[in-house]
Amino acid sequence: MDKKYLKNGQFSEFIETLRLFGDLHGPTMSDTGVFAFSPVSDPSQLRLDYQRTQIPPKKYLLPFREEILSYREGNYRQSHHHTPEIILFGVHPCDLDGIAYLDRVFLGDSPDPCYAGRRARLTLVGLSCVPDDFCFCSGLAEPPTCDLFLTLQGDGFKVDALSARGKEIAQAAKDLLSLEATGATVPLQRTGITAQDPQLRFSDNPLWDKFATTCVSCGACSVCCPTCYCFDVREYPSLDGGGIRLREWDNCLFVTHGEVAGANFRGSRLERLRYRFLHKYCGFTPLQGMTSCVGCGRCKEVCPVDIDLRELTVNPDQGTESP
Amino acid sequence: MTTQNSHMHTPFAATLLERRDLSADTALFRVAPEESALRTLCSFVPGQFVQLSVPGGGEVPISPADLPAADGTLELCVRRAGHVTEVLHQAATGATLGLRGPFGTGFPLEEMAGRPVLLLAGGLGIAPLRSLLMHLLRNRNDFEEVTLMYGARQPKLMLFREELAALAAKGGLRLFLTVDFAPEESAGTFSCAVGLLPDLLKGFRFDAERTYAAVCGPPPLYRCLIGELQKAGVEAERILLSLERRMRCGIGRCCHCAIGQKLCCVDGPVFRASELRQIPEAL
Amino acid sequence: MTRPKLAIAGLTACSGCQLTLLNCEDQLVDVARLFDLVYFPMGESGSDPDAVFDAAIVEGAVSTPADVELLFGLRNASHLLVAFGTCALWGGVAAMNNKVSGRDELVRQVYGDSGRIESFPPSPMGNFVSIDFAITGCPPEKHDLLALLAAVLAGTLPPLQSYPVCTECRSRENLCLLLEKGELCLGPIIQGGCNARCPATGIVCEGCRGPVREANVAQELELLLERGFDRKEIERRMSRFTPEWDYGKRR
Repeated sequence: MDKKYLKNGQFSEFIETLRLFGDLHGPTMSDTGVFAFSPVSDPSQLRLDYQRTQIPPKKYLLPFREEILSYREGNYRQSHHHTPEIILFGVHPCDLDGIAYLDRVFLGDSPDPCYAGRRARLTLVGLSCVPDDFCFCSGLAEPPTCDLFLTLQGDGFKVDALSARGKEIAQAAKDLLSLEATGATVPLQRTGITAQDPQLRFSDNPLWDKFATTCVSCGACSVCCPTCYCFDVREYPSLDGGGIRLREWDNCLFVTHGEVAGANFRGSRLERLRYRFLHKYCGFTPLQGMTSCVGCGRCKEVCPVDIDLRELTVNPDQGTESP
Repeated sequence: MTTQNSHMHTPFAATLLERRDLSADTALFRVAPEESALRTLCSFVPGQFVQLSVPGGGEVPISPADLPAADGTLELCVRRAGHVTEVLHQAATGATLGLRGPFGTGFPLEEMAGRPVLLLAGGLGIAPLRSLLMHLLRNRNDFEEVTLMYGARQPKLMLFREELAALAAKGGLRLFLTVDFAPEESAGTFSCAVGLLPDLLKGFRFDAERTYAAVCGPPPLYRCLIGELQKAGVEAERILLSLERRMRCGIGRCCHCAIGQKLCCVDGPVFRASELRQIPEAL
Repeated sequence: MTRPKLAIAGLTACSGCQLTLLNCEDQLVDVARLFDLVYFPMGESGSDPDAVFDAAIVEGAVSTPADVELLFGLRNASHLLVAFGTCALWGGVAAMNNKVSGRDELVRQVYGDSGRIESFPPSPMGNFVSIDFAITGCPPEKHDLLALLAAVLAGTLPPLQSYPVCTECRSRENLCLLLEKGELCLGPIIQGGCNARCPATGIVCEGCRGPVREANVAQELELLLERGFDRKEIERRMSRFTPEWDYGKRR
């Protein structure tokens, strides 16, 4: 039998062991009171009680803005970024699902070089959580997309090593782990969300109009979504005759998203919301029929006008919430 | 990572060899890709596109106007329409450009073999269809009747018109040209019908049961032409449409070019009308 | 290579936008080497007002006959005309208007009874001439100006960004001042590109970069009213940098 229980008393030392494998990042609270994944210099900075960070871990793989190419005398070269080994500690199951989805998109046919470079140097240490009112995930995926997973139980954690890397870390921490369970795990009811019928985007649900009227196109829902990855590509020449091409998170709720020279295929906000629904809950080639919503609840929490596209998946006739 | 894979992301260098003006704002650019690009580029199928990089401006998707020549050079027909194409139009011969691709799904040539083919082009839509036309004419015996109907707003905006007339004169191509209107000064210099493409199609007799139709033009044209073609008896599976979207990455990632749940850069840009039936926002 | 000829000029404004160029200290030598600064009254003496330009970069709102004359002159003499800064593009602080005092009264207050100054209500230059490109901001960001200059050298214009302040603000993991602190923040309807400079330091977005293209103005107004702000106060804040809003605009 594996030694896989970590007592709270051993936690700080366990964290120090993680540090041997790379730069340690984890959930912390910023000066202004925002939960964020950031570098951790002292285990006491870790906020294991966090519910969700404002920006999901996708920022470690797909930064908001990054140079992808540079050119000189007309010749383009791939930009190289120095990426350190990062141990990302305390990632909840929904965010692990988000990374699994991004992996499908960016590591599929012809892996994206920038993403792949970062992903290869990212070790994920998952952490169990207790859902709040915004959460609707389907729990830990099988198999989970992480190297180690820590389940809170009693006065410590159950530690599961789920990859070669995870086993290496568990081996290094073996003196901190014990055979004896720290307590029982309470199974939680998880709802999740399944892939939706694409035709729902044309349903006569009055919410469509309501959302199209109230959405302020601030873009917060996509920015904070763990699986939104649309990007814009722009090229900037510099004064020295060379230049760079960068990519930046884009947003299907912006009017420019469906524009071509002389036309816009998603000119109205309603069309853009339908597009978001379709991509999020029905999937595009080659991930058609798959929802990328992982139930983290960020979009609803950050929306200034309380839009929750999930409400569209409930047939208004069967709605039980209104009297 | 193989060289081929890295060039999905990083453009090959290509030298601008020659530029020929086709109208006030559109020109044909002949580019020579670097040696190492030739193997990848010669897999080009008419209807596919390349991502053309113009240093300083950025990248635009372009459907080559012909198959790569024997020496690997490529012809790109580009209208001055934005800040990338603007730089291209100013570029001097010898300038270094970039190319990625070819990307996407082109015309189903094998399926079209042995059948009559009707090409319908509106305006700049002639550019992607020209590569299909050239393929058909070079492999003339593999296909039955080849017809091109090409409509432009007015005579001076009609691209490749002498060249098309010369191809028709050699036989093997039935050519119908039409303009929306003809200003008086052009009378006598140029002969073609005056009227809209769908009207031209209305009076046309052809073997609709067996014909493959290939359509490319400005967005409003598609609906009218699909309607006319279906009325004439061409099944939606045999109506091939080359669609335009704002492809940024070309490889199914940036998500700007979605058409319903399909991505124009991967599943298209050539779609069958039957595939688009369930996607009201496609046309 | 011929050096592109530039005009850098100001209409009714504080000259802060033109100062942005002089603040690009690390690039000034390159700019001077690569461009022919033919007309730059603020930066040098002996400017030639009769030259022709590849680009005229002009700050300020239009509020005097002299502004109109200069603007028309630059438009006619320049291949590209760039509206530089919020005043040029939206009217800006120059066009701030309490909608109470008349123009004559204001002129008398400022210049006294003896002061004879011909002026009319300041308005954006787009009301008078066609504009090829605009850089917003009060003051504009240095990198936007440098991107324009580099693009002009390359024979084009820079790519456009069109997203509200919230996009960059959220991406920087700032605390949302509108939702979390209930402050009067204009982030959702204001053009981003400033990297959410103000909210990142805990100050609400005052709207200095003008409206974002698809601003849902009516909804922003509604959500501020719901949070208990007074309509007058909201309008006062919104019109500080952009005097004319369509408060019913939703798309």
